Amino acid sequence: MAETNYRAETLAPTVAVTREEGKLSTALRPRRFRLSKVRLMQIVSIVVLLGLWKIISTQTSSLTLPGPVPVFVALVRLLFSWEFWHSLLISVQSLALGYAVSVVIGLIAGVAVGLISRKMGVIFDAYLIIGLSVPIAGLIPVVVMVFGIGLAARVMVVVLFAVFQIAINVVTGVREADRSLVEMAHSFGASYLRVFWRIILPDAVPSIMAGMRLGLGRGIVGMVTSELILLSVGVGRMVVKFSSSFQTAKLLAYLILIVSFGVVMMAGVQWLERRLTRWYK
Amino acid sequence: MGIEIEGICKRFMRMGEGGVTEAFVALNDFNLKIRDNEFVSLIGPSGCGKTTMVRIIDGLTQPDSGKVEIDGKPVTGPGPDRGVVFQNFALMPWATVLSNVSFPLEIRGVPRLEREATARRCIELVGLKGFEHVYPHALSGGMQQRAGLARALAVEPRILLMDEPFGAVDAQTRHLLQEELIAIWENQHKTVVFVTHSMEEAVLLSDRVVIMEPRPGRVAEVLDVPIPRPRHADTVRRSPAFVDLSNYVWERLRQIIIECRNRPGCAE
Repeated sequence: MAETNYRAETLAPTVAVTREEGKLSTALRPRRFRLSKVRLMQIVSIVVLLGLWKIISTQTSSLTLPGPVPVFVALVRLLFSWEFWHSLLISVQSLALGYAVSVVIGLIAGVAVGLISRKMGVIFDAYLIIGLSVPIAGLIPVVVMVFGIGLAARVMVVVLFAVFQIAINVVTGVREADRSLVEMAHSFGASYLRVFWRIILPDAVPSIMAGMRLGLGRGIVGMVTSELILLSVGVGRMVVKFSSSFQTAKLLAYLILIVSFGVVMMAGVQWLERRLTRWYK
Repeated sequence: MGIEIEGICKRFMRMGEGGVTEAFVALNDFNLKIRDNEFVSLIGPSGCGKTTMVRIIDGLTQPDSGKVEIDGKPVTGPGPDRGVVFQNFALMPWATVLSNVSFPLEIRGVPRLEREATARRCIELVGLKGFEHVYPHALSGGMQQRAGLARALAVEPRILLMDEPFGAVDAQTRHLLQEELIAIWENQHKTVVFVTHSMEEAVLLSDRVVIMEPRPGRVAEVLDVPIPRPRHADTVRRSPAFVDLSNYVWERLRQIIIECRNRPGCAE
């Protein structure tokens, strides 16, 4: 950098290099365990919550609210049980299929609606918003009438829950693509196809990823809802079984595990989101 | 030869008071001949159609009437003989400096190795060496515009269109970028059409300064800048010719703005 005769910002490269080195050294240094204030508060809040739970549970029947200890025991037992993993596997089947279908349809439909003119797009926007606000749970009987009570019906419910959320975000991302970048590409002679692949789509990635994350959340809700309401298999069946037989500790433990499963799935999507949008400020 | 601009008119529809769409005349009978390898600045108050004119030369906007000819051929759309530097940089935030600069070459189907070699040369030329793999958000405004300039140079255009390229960078960086632009232009000899709000910038850089008036946008005066080249920014800034010309441009602009303010439907 010293050989450039440009006086401008000669300091900047040095700064950038130091920053790189800084990053490197922290990565090489063995991580010291440091308790940040936020982390500490998180732990405190969990401890307080568990304490409150314990106190309240001693005042009530174990049928309505068992204490933390029996729930923890039930949780560990469930983790090593065949029925937990089996039920999860059955549910995840419909979730995975339904989510995959939702992502594909949501992307294609979202891109199509996002690319047509804003005036025409409004017509389709209305349907997407209706689709997002309809109480899908109420439609489950209809889905069952059409698709029976097999895997197809459960996949369909997951799709109905997730697809609109994904499509709406894709539409927003595609439609809000940076006009000045589109013009820049046109100015350098880019074809419409190239503008789409190299400008509009990458620019929409943060929005698309947000849609996929939100869509996954709704998909998980859809999965459990379908199994609770009509199609008694997998996770839903277990929930019904534990609650109807007043095995409240098992029920709570089971719900905690399902929530953890959802959190792990979300973390996966979030990780992907971060990887794909590292350029984003 | 060069750029011939004849009788360009351009109107836009826009939302007026009370949500009524009304016509807004951006340019009315704009005429200008720009010679090959000439550095021409367009200067004028907001709304005088400077940016619109540059967009019409680039082919991004079609005029309602009139024509732009480059070497005798009418402009119908963007072409490989022109490279644009945008006011807001227009860098792809998800791409590194290197891929941003080589993007126009990618559009033209230049093989990867070749376009990256060209891009690296241009990056070095604008003083961004060492930043090839940095993302735009990690760069200062001045450095982002260096990348923007490198991108425009990468296509080796005969005509460089610069739409207020230094409008969004701080004053100090602006001075440096001006010096470097002079150096690059005096080495490469391209035709440059440069839009600016700054009297000093226009006089310092240009062979001719086109002073424009607004509502409707048209040429008020074309001013020759007889300051000899090669120009050294610091020397030029201290020279009486520079001071006189800058003051003259400001006097003309002041008249235009005041005249506009007194004309109904002009001031805003």
